[in-house]
Amino acid sequence: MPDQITNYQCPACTGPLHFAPASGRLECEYCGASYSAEEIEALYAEREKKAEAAFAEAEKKPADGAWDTTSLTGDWGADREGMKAYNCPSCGAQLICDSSTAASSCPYCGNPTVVPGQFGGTLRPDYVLPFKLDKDAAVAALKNHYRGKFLLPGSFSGTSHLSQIQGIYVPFWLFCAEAGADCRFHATRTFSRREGDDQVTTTEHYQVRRAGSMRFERIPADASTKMPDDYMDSIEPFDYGELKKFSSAYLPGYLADKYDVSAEQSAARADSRCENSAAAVMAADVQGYGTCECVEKHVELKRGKVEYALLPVWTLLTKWNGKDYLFAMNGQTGKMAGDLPVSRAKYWGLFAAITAAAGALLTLLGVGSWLASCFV
Amino acid sequence: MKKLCALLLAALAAALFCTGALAAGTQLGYVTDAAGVLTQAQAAALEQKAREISEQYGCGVYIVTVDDYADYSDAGDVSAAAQEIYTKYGLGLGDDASGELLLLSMSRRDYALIAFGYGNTAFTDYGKDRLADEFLDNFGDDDWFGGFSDYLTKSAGMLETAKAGKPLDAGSDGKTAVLGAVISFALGALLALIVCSILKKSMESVGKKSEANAYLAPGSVTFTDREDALVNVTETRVKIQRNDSDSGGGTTVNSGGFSEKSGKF
Repeated sequence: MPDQITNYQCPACTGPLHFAPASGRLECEYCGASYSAEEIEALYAEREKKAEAAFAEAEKKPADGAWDTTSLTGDWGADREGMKAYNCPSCGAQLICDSSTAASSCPYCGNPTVVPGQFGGTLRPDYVLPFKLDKDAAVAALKNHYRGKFLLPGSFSGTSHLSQIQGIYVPFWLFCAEAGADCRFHATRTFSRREGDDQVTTTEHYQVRRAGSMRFERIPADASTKMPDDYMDSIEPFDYGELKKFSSAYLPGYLADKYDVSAEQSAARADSRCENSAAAVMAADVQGYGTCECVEKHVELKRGKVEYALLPVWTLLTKWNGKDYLFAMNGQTGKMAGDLPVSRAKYWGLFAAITAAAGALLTLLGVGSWLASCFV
Repeated sequence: MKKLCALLLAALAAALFCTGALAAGTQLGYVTDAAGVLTQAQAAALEQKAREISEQYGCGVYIVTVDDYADYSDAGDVSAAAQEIYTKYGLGLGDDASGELLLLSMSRRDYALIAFGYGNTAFTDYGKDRLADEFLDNFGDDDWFGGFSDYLTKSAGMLETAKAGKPLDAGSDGKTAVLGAVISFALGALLALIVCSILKKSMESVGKKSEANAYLAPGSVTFTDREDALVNVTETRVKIQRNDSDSGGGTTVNSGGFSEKSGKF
């Protein structure tokens, strides 16, 4: 079951290559050389051909004086479905990963690797959006996320430990659709005038109809069960102007997952988002009324192309008081999402302080007495 | 003996003023029941009580009932009629003619409560509201004697607090002050809850998206139908409530030097 894995080595010094978000190139941290994704892909395509030929030759010869490994079995049973094993090309360690993991790094030597075959055939993504922000930017964004949060426990930013920080290419389905909407609203306009001792209110009731169409492009839906959907929704949107045709050359240095939620399973979420937005666009066109209530909504979707893309996400995991706090950052725009803990002491202290100050001020101003005199 | 003489005098005065309409130039007592809603004994008792209060505090406390206030004033307003009676019959005690008058116009069930001189200090706008609360429930049940008794008792209490330098006013009575403080702190707690909720909400930044507005293709929205049809028109009428209670406390005095409150009973 072990698979040969792909890691990109520097053609000049054989050091591992990492994709550098700042330059958009694969860089060697040992000799400083840098290469474009296309250059490396071409070089490795040639090497792979040679390696395949050499492997086929070696298979023909029986090994002399080899260990008796007949008792070992390559049968992984039921585990085969969910596991993937490969050897690190740098230190030789045999590594086992989740079958949906497409790129990782060796825990022994830190060598970045791309697990081959994961993006082959129908699983191959159409696009990849390269990371623009590095690990330092993610840490800085997390600190910035804490800033100005009065209710954050004082010890959280000081004693919480960043237990894990990972740059992950998360698989997304990108849905394109056209929506035709036909909505009816009950809208009112109200006028008020005074007639003698009477306040007269006239309300005009309108039946309003709006129909139209619109196009949605690339609505993202997280295709990995490992990533929480709400976190992925919260770091939207991504700038698709920087999408690249998929190449595994962008992956070294990051984790990457292949999808384990099908496009069909994700479609319901995209449909719902389209329908809600289409109705909202129709409602936004109803202007000049005091109130507007949608009484009938009919949205017809013409479902279009679905694309498969890997989008860059930094995940940061901190531990505080024995509890894990997960944060996710858009690896392109830097938008951060993650719920923060609330200090009970600060919350109730602030509540008491505002109640006391506002209560005393209102008492001094006589507001309470004035209101009381209206009831007594 | 002294008390007996006073009672007899009061009964005599009541007998005089309980009959017929107000005669021009007549000197009115503290209780003038021209509408005849009180028995002689009741009128005498009220006269006695009103006299004692008035003399104790140097501020006349008067009661006048008439069949129709329009018989005594062309102003077309029960309050103006009360002011005319107060002036015309020289009511009030002391150099500044201090006093308070409750006028009931029986045919229209109108009442006016006016004050003058020191009466304006003792009977604030808020105080008049509370005073009216005392007698209006009785008058609503046609309990004239009970209503006038309550009026005199409450007036005596208000004159007493005014004498102590704390006339009954918005926020001056214990009940209102306590309730006012409770309301103030309740509003403070509400404000605190809003502020804390906003701050707590700012700690949450994770949530599922239910719309896709960010992915609308620019210029792709086209409308094929826009209809706005007027279906019907409804109209509601609400009587404008006159707020007799002055919000800021104190007493509102008109150009004639009177403060007033009027209404129906």
